[in-house]
Amino acid sequence: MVRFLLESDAKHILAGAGIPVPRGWALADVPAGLAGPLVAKVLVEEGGRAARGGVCRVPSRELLDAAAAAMLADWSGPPVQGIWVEEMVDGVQHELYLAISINRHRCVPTLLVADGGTDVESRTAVSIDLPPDGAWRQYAVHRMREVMGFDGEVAARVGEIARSMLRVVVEQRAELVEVNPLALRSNDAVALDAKVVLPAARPFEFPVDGTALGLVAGCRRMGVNAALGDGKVAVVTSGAGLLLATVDLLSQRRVELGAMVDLGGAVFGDGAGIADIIRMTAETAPAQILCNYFMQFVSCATVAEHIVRGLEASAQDPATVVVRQRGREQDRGREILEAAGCTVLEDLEQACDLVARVDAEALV
Amino acid sequence: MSVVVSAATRVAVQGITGGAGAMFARRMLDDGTAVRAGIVPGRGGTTIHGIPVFDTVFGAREAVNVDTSLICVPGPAVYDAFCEAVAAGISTVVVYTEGVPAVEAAKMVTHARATGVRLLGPASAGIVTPGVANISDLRSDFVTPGPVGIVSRSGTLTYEVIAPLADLGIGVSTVCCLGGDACVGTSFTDVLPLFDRDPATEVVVLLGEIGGLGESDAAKVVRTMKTPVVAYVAGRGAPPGQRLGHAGALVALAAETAQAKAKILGEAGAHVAGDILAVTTLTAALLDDSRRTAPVGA
Repeated sequence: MVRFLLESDAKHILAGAGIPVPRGWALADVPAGLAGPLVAKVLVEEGGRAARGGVCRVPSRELLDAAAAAMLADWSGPPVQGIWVEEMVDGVQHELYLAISINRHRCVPTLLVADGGTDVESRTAVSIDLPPDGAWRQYAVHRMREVMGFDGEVAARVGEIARSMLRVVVEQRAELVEVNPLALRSNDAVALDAKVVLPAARPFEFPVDGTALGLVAGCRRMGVNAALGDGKVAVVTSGAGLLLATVDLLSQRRVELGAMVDLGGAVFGDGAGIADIIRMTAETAPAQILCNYFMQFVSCATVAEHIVRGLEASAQDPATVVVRQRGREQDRGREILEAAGCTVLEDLEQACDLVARVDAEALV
Repeated sequence: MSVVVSAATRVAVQGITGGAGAMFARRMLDDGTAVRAGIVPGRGGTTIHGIPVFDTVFGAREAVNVDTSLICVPGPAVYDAFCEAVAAGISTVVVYTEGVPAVEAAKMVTHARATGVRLLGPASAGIVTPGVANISDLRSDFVTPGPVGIVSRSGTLTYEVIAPLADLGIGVSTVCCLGGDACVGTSFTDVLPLFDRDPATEVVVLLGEIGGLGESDAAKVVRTMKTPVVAYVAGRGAPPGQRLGHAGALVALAAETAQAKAKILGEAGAHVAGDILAVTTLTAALLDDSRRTAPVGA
């Protein structure tokens, strides 16, 4: 359960920690007399924006609105939450990737550094573990200089920025603070793009109307994890491990998956979030939805009622929904779901076989 | 016999007045688990379900000598609760809460190692030895005593093993859930030797996931075990680069894939299941028919 901050919010945090960032504004607030060139970017909660046409250079303020409108018209990614405009940074001599994350194997913060750019995933970042107490130590600067070939001045400059990023991790309890690229210029370094991932203060801290942001971001606002593939079959499960295992069973059967959702904490309390999750899942237009839940405490009847509510709020045909359920009050759950037109099974293998058979028939 | 918990375990619930804490406490009492205290600052002197509530873990230790804590407070408060439990002398801590900040989970793991405290979690579904103690989100009527030990990163995945085994009349010795976060306090390598020494455990089921290297580390222990191990690593079909479910279920290295980890476990002598359904088949095949009890509901 994490929050992926928008670039504008992430940069606000970094600037507060003393890290140089370009001057920037929301599109509506860009000063009229501003000199160009400018950079306009869509604000979304996912990476890979530039490759999908979500970043454009604009020669002058006068051309900004038209350029932003054209960029939005061509955009095919997740729902856009705004347009962020910045002054173009010139004099860039080199670009770096810099991040502070947690080394899961050793359970310590770790500094990652590499040459920056849009294809950084294809390069191997140098990892420098930091002390478990979250304190900065100068050996990290020496090591960066050693492996990246920085001169002393650049190493010191990058080290100061990394130190500030570590402070953000500790003070904000961030899971990830990433700058890519960090633009190195003759006298300074500027964070041109930034990602900050914070823990959700608690599940359901966001209003449920975040569902307008699409499945992945909408679920994230509910403390629920969702992923989106290219296939036409959606899977919704009552646990993370169960989601992985269900995805495995369907993949074995050559089913290509679209939405993949772990209901997680949404099943607790009154379970009202389940209906919204089902509706958001349906809005990804799946050919079928497999709901797979095995409840220990929450009644299957309660879950069933919310699934039906979610389906009623969507255009999804209940006949395309297969529910595999086990747990308390599963007979009542079955009655509710079957009355709504869903197919209900208790056996996981049978449920996966059924979904795979229908999927294969649709392909024929 | 049992693993980690015992009949002498005396439990405190930190956050007992919250939704999850109150639910756990009620059920543990009903199951006969020795819940002796709840901890909620400012609520000391009250009771919930007849359980005395204390302001601090220190007070609960002094008054009712609890040795195990189940932490159900919200994520941002978990680190403080854990540090208090350690400082007060608690020897085993189960953190049920999900959403603990990773940087604080890392500090908890380091702190637990330095102090010798057994930490399950964060995001652990808990631990249960049927008929002995149940500090988990598994219903006691769902787990019957038997010869299969289960160690898992996922809680819900254990249901998919426990239920079909029960349908065959096979129960469990202990179910130990490590937690789905990237940094957790207890690993497969910590638990497997305990099962290997447990006379009640005849087969161990290891349920892993993509992400991390815990299953690969476990293979080194599997190689030395006398007790047979059935292993399943979930996530072969997971989309690359996307977090699926657990915070720890994200592949960063080639060695963190389900395929890589299953291969290493198989080479170490584990009986590797290709999917969750095969876990039951492999496990049952390793057990002599005489070890089965009557099927549940028979």
